[in-house]
Amino acid sequence: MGEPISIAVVGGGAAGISAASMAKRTNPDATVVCCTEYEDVAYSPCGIPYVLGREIPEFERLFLIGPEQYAEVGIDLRRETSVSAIDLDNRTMTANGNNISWDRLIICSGFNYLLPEVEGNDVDGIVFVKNIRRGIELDQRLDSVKKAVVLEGTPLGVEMLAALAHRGIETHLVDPGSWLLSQIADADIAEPVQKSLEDLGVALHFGAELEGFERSGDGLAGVATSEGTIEADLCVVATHKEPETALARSIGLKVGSSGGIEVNARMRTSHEAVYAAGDCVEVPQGLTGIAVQGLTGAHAMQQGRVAGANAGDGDRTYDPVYVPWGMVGGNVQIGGASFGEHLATTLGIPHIVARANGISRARYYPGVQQVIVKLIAEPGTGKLIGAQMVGGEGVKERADFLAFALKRGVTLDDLAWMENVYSPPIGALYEPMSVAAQNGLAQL
Amino acid sequence: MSADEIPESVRGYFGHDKVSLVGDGALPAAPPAPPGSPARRQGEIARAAALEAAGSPGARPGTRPAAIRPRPGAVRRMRLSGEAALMEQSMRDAAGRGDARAAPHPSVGLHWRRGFVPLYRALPWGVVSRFVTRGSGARGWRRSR
Repeated sequence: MGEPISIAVVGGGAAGISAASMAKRTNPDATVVCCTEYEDVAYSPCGIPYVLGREIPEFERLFLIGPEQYAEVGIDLRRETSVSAIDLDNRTMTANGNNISWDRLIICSGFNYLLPEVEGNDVDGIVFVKNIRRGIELDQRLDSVKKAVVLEGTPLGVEMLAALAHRGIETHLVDPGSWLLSQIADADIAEPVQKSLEDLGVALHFGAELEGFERSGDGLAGVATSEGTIEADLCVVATHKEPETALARSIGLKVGSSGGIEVNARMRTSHEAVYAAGDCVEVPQGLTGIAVQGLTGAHAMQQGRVAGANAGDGDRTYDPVYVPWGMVGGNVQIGGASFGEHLATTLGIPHIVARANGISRARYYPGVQQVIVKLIAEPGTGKLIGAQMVGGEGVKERADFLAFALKRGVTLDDLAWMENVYSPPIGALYEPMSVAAQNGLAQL
Repeated sequence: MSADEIPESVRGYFGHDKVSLVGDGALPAAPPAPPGSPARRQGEIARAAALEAAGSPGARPGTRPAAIRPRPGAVRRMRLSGEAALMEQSMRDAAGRGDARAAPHPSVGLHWRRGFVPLYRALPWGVVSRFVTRGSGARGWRRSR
């Protein structure tokens, strides 16, 4: 039996809900209160672009459980409840004007999109994809949209480009970078995705800086960029995920160099009774120790579980991250883990690049797809420092595997001699990762 | 709490029982939760409420989840500018080689591009990494195994 402590959670996203659930599971005698400013919990916001793009037929499918089911497991879930202040000395917080006491606090306040500081950024027609009810409203609005701009080729931006194109909307990307997903992906790996999006009719404007939003009455008329104005009646802002740290900063919690709340491996902040998890925190990248934030829903969920367990008097640690990532852009899968060639070059990390063009199934099996793998490794030792992939299928599993391999310090030699599944419908005789590693060995 | 103590309704969370185990590589997606179930009810409530609100004025939760970046401290400012300068130079190099479709739009001043970038690049990674980790490293963590 655990101590009868009170645990309060701020936020009802992936981190907040998993923190509350794990706190209660770890310490069933604890009182667990979870406050979210939103109307809904336990749905998948990551599915919203696919409903908007008509690949998922209805929003209802994104709901996983109902809110009353949290009461069944003993969690006091308070929706449409904003936490406006925290009193560290008295260990209370103010939520919708009411005082809530806590012994341990878990802050999972998430992120905001970075709002462009340009003329007209308050005009109707600038939209954000984050909350499901606003997503449902946007879905209805899209029926009358003819031309749209997506601001920045981030993962959400790429998903929205395809979604809007699927709806038959003339779609443009405005991005100051040189290629899609340029914060994480290499140019050559992004190129098949760019071509696939262009095949869907998307116009890509790289090296283009947003200069303002042009009005027509109350609505959006166009998006002004350094390359000219693009007529549009809708603009999806898919900019950087800026950690929401206002509450944390108001109580003096330390914020790190990435803008996220500093936590240790137990997800504890600079205050002994306060934990934090999800998009509002920063954690170290496994190879360099550099603080990173704004990762995936899977990271948020696992961080929430660690924070919840420790707040409930358990003992869990979270490991530094190697950030496996993957997504579908147009009709192509793209992904990777840790550093790509572009990021390694940017930081000045010495590296070699090992590359292979492989296939996802036996070459004679119907549905076989190309898979391009790039491995980034340390010169001399061949120790893996990152990977990037693009192809028709099988990217996610390779990204997960390579992130774990990175965590265990594998080398190109290990990968060159790895075992692999060979079965014509699901895997080729030669595993592309292994072939890339063999190609890389010649460069060591 | 053991797995046995988790209510049946919550155990169905992942919907494994709703998805076919057999198929040709394009498995059918899970249908919505069963009629009358809490998840289905919440989905229907959310949809009805959102459609009723659609087009009406007034702020609703999540209408504008965007913010101007809080005024960064010196360390974050250095990191933001330094990373942007290095990344943009890397993209400019790629564009110069014909590996990218366009040069990036510069977001940092000339002193970052012409001063910081060449200096950073002139130093070996062994030296630079110490500064990078000191300035941008996460604190309070053990190194990876």
